[in-house]
This record gives sequence, structure tokens and C-alpha cells, in this order.
Amino acid sequence: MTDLELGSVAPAVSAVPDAFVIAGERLPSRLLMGTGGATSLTSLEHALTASGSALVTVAIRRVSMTAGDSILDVLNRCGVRLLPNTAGCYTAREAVLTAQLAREALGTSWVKLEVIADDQTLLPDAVELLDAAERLVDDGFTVLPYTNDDPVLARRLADLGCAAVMPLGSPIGSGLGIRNPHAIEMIVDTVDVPVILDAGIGTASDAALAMELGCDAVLVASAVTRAENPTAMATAMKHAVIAGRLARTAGRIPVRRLARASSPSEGVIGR
Amino acid sequence: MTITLNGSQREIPDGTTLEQLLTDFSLPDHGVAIAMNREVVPRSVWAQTRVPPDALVEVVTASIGG
Repeated sequence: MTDLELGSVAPAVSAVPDAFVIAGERLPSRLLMGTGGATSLTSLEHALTASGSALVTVAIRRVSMTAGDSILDVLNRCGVRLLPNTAGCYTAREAVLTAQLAREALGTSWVKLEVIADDQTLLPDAVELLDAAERLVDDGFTVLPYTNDDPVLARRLADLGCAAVMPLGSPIGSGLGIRNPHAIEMIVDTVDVPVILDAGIGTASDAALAMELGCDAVLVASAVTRAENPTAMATAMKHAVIAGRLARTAGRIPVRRLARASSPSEGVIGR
Repeated sequence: MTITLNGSQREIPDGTTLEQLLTDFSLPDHGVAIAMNREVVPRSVWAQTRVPPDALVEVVTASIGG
């Protein structure tokens, strides 16, 4: 044991990640779930339970006259907080009205603000997004904007009073992962509000990477709901977010170009 | 008179209120919100708000998404 230094025992690291706070609200999980793409409410409920998520997005749509269990019944049973979105809106005006309807229908002033440019890319329209964010903040909403992976735009949104920013890893539903990790790191360094990686996550390693880059949380929807086994993928995402957060805070080793032996160099036989 | 309810043209009696409209079309009255002519109408005034001719009424709720 001559080469080993037996230092003091490190404090135990809790497997449960530290608290995550948005607009003064403490959330027990850094994994947010979207409900889009779910093929059945039963499989969605199982996946939500497995994910441990406490903040779950819903869209706002015209009521249908079909009876039976509704998404709201499922989410109430899961005990999660609702995060209505403005998916499908192309203009600030549409997004503001949708957010106001969501507040009226669901009794929450939290909104995931999405203002998209076109159906093919589903990329945010930065001009309309800033306009809508400003109007909603002025109207008392807690605004979480889905944004491009642009540090300047993210800073503008934070400066307007948004409660968090939600940069994309890659286009919605693409599963392409995080295409520009450097931009995500720059956003983390640039804004003081929580950064929630949103869109593009395909599998657990993407979620872990987001957390290792310094994001405060990750939102997944299609990656879970459209997986062959949504419950298994939700479980994987839960662990990936915890692992990525722990790795971020653990102080990783620097990257080196050349090897650095981990076994002792002394006492090798025959030398 | 004719109105547009969730994208479909509907005939309703003159003087129908938003509250009656939900009942007449068997629409749920909880977890929903109403926009009339692109303005939110708060739940507290549904019972007093009459639907004008040619109104554009949207009744929305949460659905899977995002």
C-alpha cells in the first residue's frame, strides 16, 4: 500500500440529484417529460411514473367529444405539475392567445413558449419568439421558451425575464442528439436562469451529455414516447440525467492527447 | 344564427350564452378555456356572455404534446 494515499473518506454522494428550482419552485427531478407522441394513455402513464418527472408538458387543442380517460386525469394521478406549451403556433399573437387559454383552462401561469417557423424544421422563429416572450412576461406568465442553440438569443430571452431557457439539441423529434455541444456550453455560461436542453434527444447518452455540458435539466418526449419500450427508455433517461449531473459536479479528469498510466510505474518485475 | 365552433359552422338560438353553448354541444366545462373572436373569455363570465352572430368560438383543453 506504499503508493496509495489513504485520505479521509469522501462524503457519501447521494444518488438523488440536488434540487432544481425554476421561478422559486423546487422540482424533485431534473428530467422533464413531454407527452407528445404517446400512443396510449396507459403506456404514457407507465413511462411518466418510471421517469420520476415532476414537470410534464401538454399541448392546448380543441376539445373532442369523445368520452373516457383524459390526459388531465392521467397527469393528476401521476401528481405532476403541468407545463402547457404553445406548440403549433407560428406567430407571437397565436402563442400569446394559446398561453392565455392554457392559463384559463389549467390554472397555471407557467408556459413552455414555442413559436415555430415552419413544419419541416420546427425550428423557433427568433423574432416572433422574442415578441411573444416579452408580451407573456409582461402579462405575468412564467415563461420557459423553446429556443435555438444560440447564446445571444438565449441571453436576450433571459434578459426579458424568462424563468428558464430551453435550447434545442437538434430538431424536434429528430433523435439527432446534441449537434452543437459548444453552443450549449456557451448558453450555460451566458445566462443566469436554468438551462433545459429540449428537443433532439434520441437516447440516454444524449441526456447524460446535456447534463455533463452543464444544463440544469433535460426535456424528453419522442425519445421516450416513440421508443419501442417507453417505460424502459423513461427509466434509462431518469438514470442518465442523474448520472450526467453527478458527472458534471464530480470534476472530471482533463482530456489528454497521450496516455497517462493508472498503474504504479515502480516495482514492475524485470526492471 | 350561425357561429363557428371549433372550426365547424353551427346553428344556435339567439341569446345563447357560453355556458349554455357548452351544455348544448355536450362539451366538458372543466379543464377547458374559451376564446371568442380571438379573445379569452374568463370562466367567471361564461354565464353572462352571449354569443354574437358569426362568432368564432374555440373551446380548448389539454392534449398530449410537447
